[in-house]
Amino acid sequence: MPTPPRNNEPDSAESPPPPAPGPREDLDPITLARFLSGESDAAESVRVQRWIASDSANAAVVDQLRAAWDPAVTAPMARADEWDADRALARVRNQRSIHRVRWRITATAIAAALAGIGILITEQVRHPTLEPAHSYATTTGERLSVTLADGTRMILGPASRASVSMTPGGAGRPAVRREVALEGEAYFVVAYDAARPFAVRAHGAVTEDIGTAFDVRAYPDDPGARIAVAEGEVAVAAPGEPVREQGPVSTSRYQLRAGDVATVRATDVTVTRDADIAALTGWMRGQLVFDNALLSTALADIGRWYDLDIRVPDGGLPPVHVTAAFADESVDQMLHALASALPVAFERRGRTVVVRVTGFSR
Amino acid sequence: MASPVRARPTVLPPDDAALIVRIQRGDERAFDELFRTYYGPLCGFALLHLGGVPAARVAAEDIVQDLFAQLWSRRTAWEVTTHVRAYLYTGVLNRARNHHRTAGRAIVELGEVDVGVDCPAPDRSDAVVTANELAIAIRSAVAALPERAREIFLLNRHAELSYREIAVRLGVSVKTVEFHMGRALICLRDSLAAWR
Repeated sequence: MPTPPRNNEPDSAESPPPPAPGPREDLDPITLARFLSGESDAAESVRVQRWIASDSANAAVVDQLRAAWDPAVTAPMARADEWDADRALARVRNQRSIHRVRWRITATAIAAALAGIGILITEQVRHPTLEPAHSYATTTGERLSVTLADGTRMILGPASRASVSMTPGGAGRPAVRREVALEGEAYFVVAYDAARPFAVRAHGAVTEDIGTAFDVRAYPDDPGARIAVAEGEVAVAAPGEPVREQGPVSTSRYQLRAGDVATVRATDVTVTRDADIAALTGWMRGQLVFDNALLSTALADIGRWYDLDIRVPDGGLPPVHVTAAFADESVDQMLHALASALPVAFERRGRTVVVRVTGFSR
Repeated sequence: MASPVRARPTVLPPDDAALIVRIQRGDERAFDELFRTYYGPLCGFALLHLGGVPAARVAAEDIVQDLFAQLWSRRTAWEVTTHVRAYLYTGVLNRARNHHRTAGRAIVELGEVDVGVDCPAPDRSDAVVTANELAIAIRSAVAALPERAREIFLLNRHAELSYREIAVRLGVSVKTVEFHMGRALICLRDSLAAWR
């Protein structure tokens, strides 16, 4: 992980405010504010409580501040029951109806267009699904957590799309097959049901759940699909391999356990054991983690994460690798850290970032 | 400081996510539910940012109604990456800022750096005689906080957003949020010294 860039930032908001003078000011205000807001960890809480108990004057200050921290004291006029929500809702509904009319017109236009593609619809009817496929999509900089009808939890990464369908199995097959077509990245905590296999299709690879939590990544600019297992077991089939309809997982496919990562490129499957799953799923916790990632892949991730338009030079990028983790950094801090460790320079204007290759000898 | 990561989750809770999905599909009952849950608290919050004076009540209600009307009309493009409550409260804050701006009041822009700890003196003219004088002193001290510190203090105390949620919504680092909260603490502590 590169050295954090904080010290180079010309942002004086990053430095703590000077402690006010006084004989007992041995606890900095940032720490005390964190404590009062419930943001301190256990060790810091103990330290602050000791400081409070050490002097009655400290306790007096904290008593006042606790009152100031209490919303009931600072804003009695902000009480929720003082406002007429029903009247306001009626007013907003009136404003809303204008939009609804416009929506109906659009719907009619869509219906007319659909009549022209009847063949597609017929095709759909021949392979009926129990419920229509639901699509969930995120844009850059966005994440979405969805609980599906069967209780499975899906957390969708930035710039991703997942289409969820339930298919009846037919004669001799499990009653229902749950399937997700994924483009981008998603984490699944599957509500296991032996009668209803759960499968994720991404870049042609099929990942089938055996009661588990796992991450699938397959952005269009990725060379293939990556499956990382956090808990339990999954089976992976490369594109073209037959997919099980029922019964135990076939031995011809790759079985992954917790800690395993499979990379599927074309029909090749590479399995890595004891991988750092926490790092690979850091995006769910608001972390952007690169573990020996190609610079081009890292920049694509950064663009999706921060909603940036990253322009790469025509000559391409050097094949260097990045290992880094970012959580609370601003865009500029992160770009600065990358530029100081890699042979590139960034120029940011709004959401456009132009990348220049500088060579290592700077 | 890439780590440590705070234990507080930034992933959407399933309840919020389910409600968002329902609203995005055009479910009016889900919208009404969201409206009734948040309307009162958001109006109170808007009023605080407009100075807490009764005359600002109408403006506060307008801000919140406008937020919800826009939320509905743009629901398919609705981007929620934090808790719904964080989204709504920061939406109110942004509108309150615009309200100030159009009312001709100077506002510290997002990302602008405040230098030093310059605490304006709170207005004490109305204070002192009531039994509730500390509460009144606290209120005027909060009202007198530097703009940015006051916004962040209110997001933390009244909207009950974590430092991390505030940082995400305002597009600043958690350190910056900590800085302003520390600054608010210094100002409040000093303003209240006379009541100790």
